[in-house]
Amino acid sequence: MVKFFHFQALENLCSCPQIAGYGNPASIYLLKGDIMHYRGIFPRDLFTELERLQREFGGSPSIRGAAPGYPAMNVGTTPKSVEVYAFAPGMTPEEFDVQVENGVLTISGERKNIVPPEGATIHIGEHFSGRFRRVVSLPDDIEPNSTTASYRDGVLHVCVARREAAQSRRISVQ
Amino acid sequence: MNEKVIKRENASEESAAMRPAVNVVEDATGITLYADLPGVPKEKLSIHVEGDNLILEGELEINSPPNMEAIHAEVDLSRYRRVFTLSRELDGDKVSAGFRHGVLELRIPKAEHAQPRRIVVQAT
Repeated sequence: MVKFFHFQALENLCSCPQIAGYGNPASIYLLKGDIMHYRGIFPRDLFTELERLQREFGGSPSIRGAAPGYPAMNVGTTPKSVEVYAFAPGMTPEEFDVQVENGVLTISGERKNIVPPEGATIHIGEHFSGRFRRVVSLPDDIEPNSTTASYRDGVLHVCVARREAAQSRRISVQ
Repeated sequence: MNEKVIKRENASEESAAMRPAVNVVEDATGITLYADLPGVPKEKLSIHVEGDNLILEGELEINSPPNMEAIHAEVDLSRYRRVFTLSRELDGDKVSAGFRHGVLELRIPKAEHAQPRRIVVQAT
């Protein structure tokens, strides 16, 4: 019974890329009964704690993994625009595919892996490589035809304009 | 007491940094490190070697409009920092660097004495 549980817990851990990345056997929780005991001895960083909580109470992780996705994104709004920043280093501007369709902004592309010279050893390989795609749903008042995109220092910045009418107007009191 | 609390807050703010993702590749003559530092302009990147430690630091500079209201942020810190320990055969004085589209490429050669040497077997 106990052995079976061990096996399941390990399998769960392996399916979650973030945790596998830690590679630290000390942060693997196998038996619920032991958790309280271990916690007191080894204080851990916040992320490990959060992951533990998620495993304990949340149950199954998302099918797309625990990480929010690649590339990391920041989104903001101004009265005149929606600003989207995608942190995707190591690309060229031509390698991005940016589309606005039906009120949805899609950013996709492919990050090519660095090919090591023959006979070289890869000690650490944390970089994302391969195809990626992220989607942001936009507010109703956007003007899809006046979308601009620029790539600087490894950050793709997409600016989607909003319609004039939606911008708040100050009404003077007579 | 208040002063102490403030000082501590400042310290934690200073130490809060993102860990850049890296690839490290070793060949016969040295090590090449690639670090993802998106959002860091060249001027805000700092690489230094202190004793055995290689310290990578960078500050983000995102020129967002001043009246922008953030509604979703996955990158919410303004700096990167990561420290590596160099092993003895690496020559910390001869590190060379290139930086393009947010990817830093660092070359750390092995010291002269650690370079591979082919010994020719003499026929007698």
